[in-house]
Amino acid sequence: MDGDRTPEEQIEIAESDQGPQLDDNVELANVFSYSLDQRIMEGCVISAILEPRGLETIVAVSVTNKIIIKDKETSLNITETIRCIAAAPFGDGYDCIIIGTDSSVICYDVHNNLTVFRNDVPDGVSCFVYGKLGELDEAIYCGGNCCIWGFDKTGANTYWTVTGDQVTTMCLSDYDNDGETELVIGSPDFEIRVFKNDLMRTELMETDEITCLAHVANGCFAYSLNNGTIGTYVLKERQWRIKSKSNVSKIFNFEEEGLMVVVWKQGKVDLRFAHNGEVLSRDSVSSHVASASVSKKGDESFITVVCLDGKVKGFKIQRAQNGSIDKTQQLIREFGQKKHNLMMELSNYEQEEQLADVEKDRDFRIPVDTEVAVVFVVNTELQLLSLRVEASHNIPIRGVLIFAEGLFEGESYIWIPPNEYQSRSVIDIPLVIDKDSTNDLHTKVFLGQVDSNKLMVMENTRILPKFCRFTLLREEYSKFFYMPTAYIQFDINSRAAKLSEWVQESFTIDASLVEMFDEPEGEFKFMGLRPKHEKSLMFKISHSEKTCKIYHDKIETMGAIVQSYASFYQIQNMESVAHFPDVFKEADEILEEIDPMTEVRDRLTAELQERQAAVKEIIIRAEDSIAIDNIPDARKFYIRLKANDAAARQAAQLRWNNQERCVKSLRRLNKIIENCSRLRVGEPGRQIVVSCRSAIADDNKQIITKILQYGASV
Amino acid sequence: MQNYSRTDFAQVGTTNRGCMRVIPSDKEKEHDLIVVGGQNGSLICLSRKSNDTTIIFKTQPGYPVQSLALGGPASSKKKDKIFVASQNTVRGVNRKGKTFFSMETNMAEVANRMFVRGLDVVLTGRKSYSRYHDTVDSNSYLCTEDIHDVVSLVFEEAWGSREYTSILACGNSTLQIIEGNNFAYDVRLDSVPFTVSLFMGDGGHTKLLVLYGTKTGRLGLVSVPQGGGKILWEIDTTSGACVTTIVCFNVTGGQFPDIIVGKEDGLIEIYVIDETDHAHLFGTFSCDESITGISCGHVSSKSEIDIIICTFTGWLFSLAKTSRPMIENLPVAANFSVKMQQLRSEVEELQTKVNEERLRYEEITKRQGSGTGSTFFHSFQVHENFEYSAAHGAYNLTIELVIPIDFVVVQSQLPIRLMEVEKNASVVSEVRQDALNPWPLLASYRCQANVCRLELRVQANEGDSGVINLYVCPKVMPKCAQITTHYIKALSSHMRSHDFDLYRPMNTLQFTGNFSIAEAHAWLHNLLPNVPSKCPPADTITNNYQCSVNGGTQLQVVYSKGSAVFRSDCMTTICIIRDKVSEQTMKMQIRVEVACELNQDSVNHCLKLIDPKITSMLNIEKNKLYAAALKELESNNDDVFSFLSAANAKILKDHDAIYEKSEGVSIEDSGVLAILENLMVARGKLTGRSSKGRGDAIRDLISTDYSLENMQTLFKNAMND
Repeated sequence: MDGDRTPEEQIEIAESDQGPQLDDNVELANVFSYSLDQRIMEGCVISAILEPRGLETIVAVSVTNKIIIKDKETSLNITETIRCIAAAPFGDGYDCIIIGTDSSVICYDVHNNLTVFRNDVPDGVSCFVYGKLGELDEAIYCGGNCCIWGFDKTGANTYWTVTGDQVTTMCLSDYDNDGETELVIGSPDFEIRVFKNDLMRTELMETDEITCLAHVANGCFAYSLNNGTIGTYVLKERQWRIKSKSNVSKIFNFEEEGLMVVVWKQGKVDLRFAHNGEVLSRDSVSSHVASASVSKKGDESFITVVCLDGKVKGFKIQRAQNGSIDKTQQLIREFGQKKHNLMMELSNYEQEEQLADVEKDRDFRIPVDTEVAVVFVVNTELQLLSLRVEASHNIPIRGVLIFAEGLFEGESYIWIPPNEYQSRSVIDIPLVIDKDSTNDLHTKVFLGQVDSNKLMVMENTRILPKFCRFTLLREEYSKFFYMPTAYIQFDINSRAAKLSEWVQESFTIDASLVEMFDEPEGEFKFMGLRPKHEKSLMFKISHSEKTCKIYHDKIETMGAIVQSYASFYQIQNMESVAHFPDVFKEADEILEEIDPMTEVRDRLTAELQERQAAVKEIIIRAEDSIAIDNIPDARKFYIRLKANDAAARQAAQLRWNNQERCVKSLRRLNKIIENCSRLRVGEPGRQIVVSCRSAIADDNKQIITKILQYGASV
Repeated sequence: MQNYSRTDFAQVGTTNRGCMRVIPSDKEKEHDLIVVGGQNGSLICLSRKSNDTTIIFKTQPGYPVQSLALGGPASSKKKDKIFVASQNTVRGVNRKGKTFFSMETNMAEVANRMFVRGLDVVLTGRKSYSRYHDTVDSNSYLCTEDIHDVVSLVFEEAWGSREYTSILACGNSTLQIIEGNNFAYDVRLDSVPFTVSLFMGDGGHTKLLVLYGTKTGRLGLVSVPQGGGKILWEIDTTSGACVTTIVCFNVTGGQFPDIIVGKEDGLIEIYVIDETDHAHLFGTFSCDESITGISCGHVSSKSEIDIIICTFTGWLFSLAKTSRPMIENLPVAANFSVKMQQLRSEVEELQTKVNEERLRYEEITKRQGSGTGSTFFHSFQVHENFEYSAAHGAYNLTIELVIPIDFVVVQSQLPIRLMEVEKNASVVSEVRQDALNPWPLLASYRCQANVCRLELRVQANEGDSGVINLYVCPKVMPKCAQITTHYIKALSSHMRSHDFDLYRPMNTLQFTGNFSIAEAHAWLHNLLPNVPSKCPPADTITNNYQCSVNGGTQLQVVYSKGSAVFRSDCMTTICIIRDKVSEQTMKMQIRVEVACELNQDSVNHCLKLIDPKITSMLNIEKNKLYAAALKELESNNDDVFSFLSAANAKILKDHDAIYEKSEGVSIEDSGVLAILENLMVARGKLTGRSSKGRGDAIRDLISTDYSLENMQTLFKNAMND
């Protein structure tokens, strides 16, 4: 419907970026519609050329686990549960369909009706991306539970790496604009990770689960989050960000035109400028979107949107036909709106001049020089960090609204006094933070007398330091200090001569106290605040020996401290010696149980295969008995079949349980290696990963804890 | 509507309903004019030429314009005299802006709605109706209900014995027909009429046909002959928003005038009429603001009809066919550039002025020093609407500003659920109750760019009551916010109704004691929505209600001095009333005797009433599973219809419709579980037994083995615990 427009989303642009002068007279046009007549599984739609010199066609997965090919009557039945599909040009001039299931990757050649390869992938595949990564040949990359696999056209495993969490989305993009593509992956733990070849090069922290990644241009990729945010990163910095109330299904890039198309799950389709997110055109489909795909026909590209109910709608980007009139009207309306807003403000100023004092008193005005202080306050006895909001002149605070991404359950926290007549001019709002990350708190404070329904709004922005969960310990509260047993030790870099600068930025600390960190020798104790109220932190500085020791028992937090310290002082390489007895013991235990678990897995697999063979044999015998009309024997065999089937299921369950334990242990081990890598900076950190993998591959497991402790260079 | 496009003419100030008209031109060659009255009391007349808007005249601000109508001498076919109602005064203005006529009425109220025809001027306030013939006070009538709109029949030649007849749209879901000074009869509707209009502009071929639009978005046609009226048809419009405007004009080129409907949510709908006087939807257009006026004429073109739309925030725009010749619609490039440059210059100049004012304000405030001056507060008007929607089982809450909204904070004293509104683009964030916040719900809506209107949907359980506050913060400097307050009554889902079924099993609750009828009325005002705050002048008052969420239980209230009797077939309703009224009487130290007579059959009766709703939802879920299974069967068999039964074949054919229907259907979200549990708790309370709910047992029964008999058995067994 004309005029049915959603207002533009609020845009946060990191910097004023004069993008290229692009033609903005383009729009989305609906060019075809049809129905697949099946309900479609979410996330499982691709476009592929399935025959030599054939045309691109839509391939989708139905909710009944079948692969549907448009214009083909039959569908492919896959016995394993399908999670995702992709197209890869592994055929001779055409695509094969790559199928990711709960436990394997299958490459199917539709043209020749044969399975090219089937590879076991423990824990299955969640997403695919095809292309060239760095110096490696083209391959299909599979994102799994905490591993990434790469297979070439023959099914050979050409790539393998590990990451800290499940991979939910991937793309190949030249992240640092060095001419080589990197693998960019997104995880449910709010992190975007960038892999150069098989080593993780960068981690980008976001505010919610990553749902979609897409290449935009060299040095630029787009991302979307589970809270409705979309945006782009350019050369490692966020370029723009937009939050909507809907979630993204797919993002497509049209690099030559500098455009991108965003398909939202609830049915909207946007055409946007890639450099600032501005909407050029908007269309929609009638129901919820399963997924979308881009296909080419000659020189034209089409966006095919497939809904959950099987309806398909196709769009293309074309020059706008009525665009000039609509754009003109839109511009006139915007100018009219702006003019009206300004005139409203002006007339309010004029009215203000004419108001008598009596009328002003009736309005419950507050003094003009009222100020609101918003500061961080530590309640030491409760070990609690609070945001203190205090209004001058004893003006009642009628409410506090805090917008902060990723800090609260939603995007905001609201406080309104329990009783309007028990108002106060100061309020402490507890902050219980479960992640070490910098955060902007946008605070809006409602001020007004108790009987007034007109309130002043004071705005304030505070940056929450990354390690605000620790506060400097004062002597009288030493009972809250629990000496940590774990520590790291590293040489003080000459760039980091003034520790106070980093401490000032990263911790909540009085400016008057920060100078002590620059003394030649010292021990500095921090107590933990909720929810880290029984975890303490201590720095031990010795400039004479040029060493720094940091004591803390949580290795994840220690890694964050090291990375923050190195990033602040722009340190590119840093070694350290780590002492985390509990973590190393855990690693040793996992390493010791890997071989037995593998043996158990092999034994259970053999047992399962034996039971399955027995089941098949009994089925054949039972059917033979029926065929020769020997019903008593048939009944006997079917009774035996029931028992054997139950035994086979039990064996399968046992194998699955063992597999689950095995993967859980491997994931935990990978996490430990990653955490120990983050206790170092730059090449020493990467070498930890390389050396540990070599040790595992060479069955040289006893050396791993030494590597974790002392680094890889010894 | 794919073939209509919007062209913005101007933005005047905020407007009330019915304050914009198109004035026919007085010369054949000239275009029609637009006249609009604002809430600031200013009257503006505009013309449109060469794609540009020109002001013909603009009057000085004054009291708000409440209503505007066109009229003219009966001897003339042209209606080009402008009549404006403000406060209790009616002025006549000609097309050049000169006042030729002024009449100060003796109305004690503000004249909200006006109808003008020939020498007759009809005015209504909230309760009063007056007719003035040639400035002489000729008829008057005092209505006990709120009057939302008025229209009069035009039947001069053959009035016969019938006196001057007007139709009032009243707040008790009736159209009241007033003949002379007297109430003749009423036509009972199912929802509150908000707008009335003469069918085809003059009442149709019988001159007795009146269109009405309701608060819940229904459109109907009623015939109002002498002696008794009849509803000819009533239809749903495309949304449940309030109908604010109805105009009849031929815009589609059909045989009869079309019906153009404007609504609170910004929808404009066009209906065509067939030979049987039935309406059929032709198309819709959507803008983002409340519609306050629609009028038609040749404003931009002599060859095409323009539909002129006016919104609450004062936007004036036209809807015109895009197929008209481009030469008329496309601005000449040079003219367009000049116009854009003019607009840009105006905006820049205004921005400079505003910046100067801001700086000057800062200087003044600094000079005033500490503690003496007071802050500057930007006053802004919040246009709000809080209306119950039976279709959604929830309250629609809309707020609209003339400046963009930055954010809104919702604070609720009672547990409510904020439901999704599709057209909202705001980012919502709810805050849970915690040690600092005793409020059951706090939420923030962060609005996107240039949003002036926000729509929420609020669902509450019956029995919960309290205040909902909205903190509305616009994008203006210095930053300020305004609190708007809305109240949800304990029986929030009960609506006025005309009928009361005496044959249902009834529970009776009676309060007797030393209280006045006004006090009893106040109890009702606190219990039920849409009860006027003032007690009607009568010795005994009887009102009927029906609940819209639990299958349609009834409530009848009869109260007088010293006695209040409540009768309902629902024990939950009786229990809520007893608790709330007792609360009030204890607070006011009134001694009352409470007598409660319960009918246990009413429990089975209530379960029977809600059974269709539960059964329907369960059937939808079951059909969805069948449809999925049959679809799978179809994809594996080429000739599946040859062996399916007729019922199964129909399910398979309706597969997509079944899935579409099941979207949003959920036992958990429908409120049914709470209704059943509350019924059990209420019965326990009223009979003095355990009031422990059996929510888990109810949920289990519905999800595993629901039938009306099994549910009745469960309730019967719970009675013996």
